[in-house]
Amino acid sequence: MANIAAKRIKREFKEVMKSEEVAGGSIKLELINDSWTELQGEIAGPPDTPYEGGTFLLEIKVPETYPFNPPKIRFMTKIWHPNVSSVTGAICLDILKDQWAAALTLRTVLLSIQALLSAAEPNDPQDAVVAKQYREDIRLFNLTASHWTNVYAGGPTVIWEFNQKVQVLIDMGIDEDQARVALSTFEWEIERATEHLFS
Amino acid sequence: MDRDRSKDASEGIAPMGIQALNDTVLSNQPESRYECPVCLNWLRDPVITTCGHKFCKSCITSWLQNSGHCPIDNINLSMKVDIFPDNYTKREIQEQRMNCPFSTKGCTVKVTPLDLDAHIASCEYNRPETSTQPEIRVPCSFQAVGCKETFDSQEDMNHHAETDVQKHMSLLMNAYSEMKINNDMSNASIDAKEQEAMTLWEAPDKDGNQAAAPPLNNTSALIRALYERVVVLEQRNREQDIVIANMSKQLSAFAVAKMKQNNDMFLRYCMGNYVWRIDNFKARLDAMLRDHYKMLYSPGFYTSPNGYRFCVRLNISPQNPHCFALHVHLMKTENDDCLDWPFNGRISFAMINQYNPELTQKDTMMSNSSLIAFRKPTAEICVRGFGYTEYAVVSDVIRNGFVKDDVLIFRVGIRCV
Repeated sequence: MANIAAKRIKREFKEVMKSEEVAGGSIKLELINDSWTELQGEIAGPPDTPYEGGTFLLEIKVPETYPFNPPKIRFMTKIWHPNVSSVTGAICLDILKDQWAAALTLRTVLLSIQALLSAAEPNDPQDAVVAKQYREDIRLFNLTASHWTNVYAGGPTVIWEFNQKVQVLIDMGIDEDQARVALSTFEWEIERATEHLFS
Repeated sequence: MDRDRSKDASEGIAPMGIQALNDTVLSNQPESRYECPVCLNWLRDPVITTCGHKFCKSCITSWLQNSGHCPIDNINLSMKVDIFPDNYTKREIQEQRMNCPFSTKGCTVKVTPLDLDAHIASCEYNRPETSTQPEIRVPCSFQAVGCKETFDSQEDMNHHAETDVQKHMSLLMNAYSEMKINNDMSNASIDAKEQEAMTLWEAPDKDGNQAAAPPLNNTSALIRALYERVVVLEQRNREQDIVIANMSKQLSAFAVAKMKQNNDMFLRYCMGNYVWRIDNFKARLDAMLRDHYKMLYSPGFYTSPNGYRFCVRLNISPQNPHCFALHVHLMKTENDDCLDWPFNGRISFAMINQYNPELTQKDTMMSNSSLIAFRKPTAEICVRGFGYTEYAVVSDVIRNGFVKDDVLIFRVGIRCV
């Protein structure tokens, strides 16, 4: 790893550790290996969103050319969000792509991702299905996002109706995650979801 | 699932990383006005942009190769027209002096912030960190028993463990025998001491509870216990000294008794043939010559195991001081009541000439039953004797070879008839 990248990550790590956000439990940063190329971020779901109460883990890979190129970040915790792939966790955020600036840091990036959870950009989606639901049925989107937050991120809101529907598909021999994606995609209608899964 | 796995991984590594951070890198944290927003380090060859931001020259150069914007506010920047050297900031940074982070270990070097990293890399007080980290060597798994080898890798260690079996066996053997000796010693002494301490010190107050030795949970308790044991042992030592002294007394008494018994045996079983060796004769003779009442008595000997008992008396003749008188005296025995009285028998004297046996002086007498000397004795030794009042001339005895090595020998034969 280039010297400048390692040095910068070390300084940033310390910066995050000293930050108010870490003290407040809003974000966290941990090292995965000792060459400073892989880290794990953790952000708390922002208040007044369907993600509230959930804890979302992020995989952070630091390229050799850092900070002249952005870090590669994806969600490890499954999340229902227009700008995050519900399957891979890939994030669509301009500062992680063409709007990256060398003056940005892991802390500011984590805060930006947290802000993205509060303010989705359905017009620049990563996951078209989610974005469509967000635009067309925000109520159902919020319920689905709450359900996902409950199941994958430890959120407090339990939606029995969705859990039962997922269980119906599991009883049919379908993988739980696949069942949830299918039901979330087809407005929680079991017939359409099964039709899609078995077609 | 993912969350659990990543938590485990991070918990193992993060503390180490933070430690490394605190040690060196972060000791050199620049003030924000001297910090490059790209490398987050002290501004090196600072430049200032037309939008008013400062960067290291190399950092902004690298950045602008792929981007036409300021890393901070995204304003369009051209390397050629928008970047100017900031010599004011450069001078201010040059004037700063920082302590080496190893000053706590004794480094007194003060350098400019820009030179600090170079100094840290070469600082002599930085040795432990730089030397221990790359050299994590694998110790031999027989380290505990004394194998001092270390290896670059686990494989090398495994190879060593396979090839040096002999060495490890002998190390183990040594360790085992040491342990055994220590164990035996401590077991033996501790058992004995503890038992003694318990019986002597604790038995009175805790009768049924002897097995539960008090837990020695601090040093003073241990010392107290050891002191008590010392007292116990000293006590026992003294007792044993006394026993040993008694036994050696007994032993010498036994030895004397044994000698006496041997003599008695010899005297009782001599069957009336007694050889009387008078050692230190010269001294005894001188004593007798000085004092004519001084007499030499032989031990009492028996004519048969349960027979008559006689002793021989030698002294300077009261009638003639130049002559020896030689007599036999009857002595009391436990069997006197069973014997016939008066004694009847033949008594023969022989004064041995030790140089020429032919000159040995022999005399034989028969008992005379009318004499008091042959009646049943009333005292330990009968006051009346029987023999010669002028047996031999003293000077002849000395001169004619009867005394050899200061010993005069009589052979006395008494036979009942």
